[in-house]
This record gives sequence, structure tokens and C-alpha cells, in this order.
Amino acid sequence: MKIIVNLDVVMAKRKMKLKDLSEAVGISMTNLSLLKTGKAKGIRFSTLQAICEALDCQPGDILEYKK
Amino acid sequence: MFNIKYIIFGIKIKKNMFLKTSLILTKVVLIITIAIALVLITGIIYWHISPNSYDLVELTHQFKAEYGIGDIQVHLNAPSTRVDKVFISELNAGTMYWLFFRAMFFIGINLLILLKIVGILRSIRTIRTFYDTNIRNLKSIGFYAAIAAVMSSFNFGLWRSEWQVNFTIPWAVIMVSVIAFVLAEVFTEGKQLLEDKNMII
Repeated sequence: MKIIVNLDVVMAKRKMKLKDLSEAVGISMTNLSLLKTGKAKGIRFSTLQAICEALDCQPGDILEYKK
Repeated sequence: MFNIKYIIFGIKIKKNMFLKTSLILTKVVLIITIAIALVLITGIIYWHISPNSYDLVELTHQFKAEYGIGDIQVHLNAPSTRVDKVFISELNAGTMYWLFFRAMFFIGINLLILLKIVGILRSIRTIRTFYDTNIRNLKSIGFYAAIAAVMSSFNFGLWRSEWQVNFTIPWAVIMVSVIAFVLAEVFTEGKQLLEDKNMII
């Protein structure tokens, strides 16, 4: 079982670049890149909220659970 | 209490006066240790020139096995009795070199440990506590203390044609070594937790 981060998919749908998201959310590109590639060990509610606001999506669009 | 806030690398932290004081004290002890080493080196050189100059210098604990360079007492006048008293002028060259080597060994160990402590205190002040350097520093302290414990466990000397050999178990030094190794493990855990924290975005 694994938590999949679909940030790149949502970003592609919204046609948003990593740099723009970084500026909108206020998180460094390095950290967003870690999150996008699934290397991050966790995500704070505040970060998730900011990303959802910037991308106009739900947390479920970004995170996915796979067995 | 005496905490003053200041900013380093954009992070607001409290200037801990306790750490600052500890750092100053450690440096003072470091300087005193170096001074003692210089006095001992000068002493052994002068002993070669004039051994009789130490006729009133007594080793009060004789050849006791312990951590440290031992205690000496300088008599201002000739003592009433010299029985059971070890005076440096009565020691042969081999015993004198052994005692000098032993003293310099403990001074060296003290210097190494103090330098590591200075490193640790500095890192804590700059909020770089749970880093590999400190883990290595603590393991080194544990290792140095372990070697010192072995060296502290025995002492010997030839005095008035009679060998004196003493043994002991240096509990305090062993405890320092164990505590340093345990702290190294604690810092390893801390480093792991810090890495985990940094990986949460």
C-alpha cells in the first residue's frame, strides 16, 4: 500500500508551472519538487490547504491511496 | 532569565547565557591545561639539569592508580621525617619518565575532550545540534574516556629499590565514557527525527 502524490497531474490539468505554484503557495521549489516526486515523508495541513487553494482542487485530487 | 533574542540565518533564537558561560569556562580550563603541560615539560627538562632541585617536592599519593597527574606537595622547609614519603629527587629516571608520560597522557586526553566539548557547545549555539559532527564528537569523547579508564586503572613506580604497583577500577571515567556513548546514540536519534521533520513539507 502506498500514498501516491498526483501533484504533477493536477498541475498539468491547471497548466501551472512549478515556479508559479511555488510563488502562490510560498514553498520553495525544492520542497515542492520533493513533494511532487513522492520523496517527502509527509505534508502539513497548512501546505495542503495552500496547494488546494492555488490549484482550486480537493486534497483527494492530490493524494491517492493505492493497495 | 538572562535570555536575549537575536536572529541567526533568519531564525529568531534565544541567546543562551548558560551556553556562553560554559563555552568560556571550557576555554579557560583548556588554557589552564595547556599551562600545566608547559610547566610539566619545563619541570622534566629542569630535572635533567638539576635533579636535586626537587628534593622538597613530594608525591603525596605516591603511585596511586587514578585519573589525573597526581598530587604534589612542595615543602618550604625540610620535612621532619622522610619515611614513607616519596620525594621526586629520590625517583630513578625510568619512574620519572613513566610518571611524566602518564601525566602528559592525561593532559592530552583532557585537551582532546575539551576541544570536542568546545565544538559541541559551539554547534548548539548555532542551532546545529543534531548533526553528524556532534555524533562523531561524542563518540570520540567516549573513546578517549575509555582509553583514559584503562590508563587510570594502574600505576607503578620504583622507589627505594622497591616496586610499588597499584590497581583500581576508575568508575567515574568509565561512567563518562558510557554517558558519552549513550549521548552519541541520543544525538543519532535526534538527527533521524530532524531529518524526518525536514522531510515533512
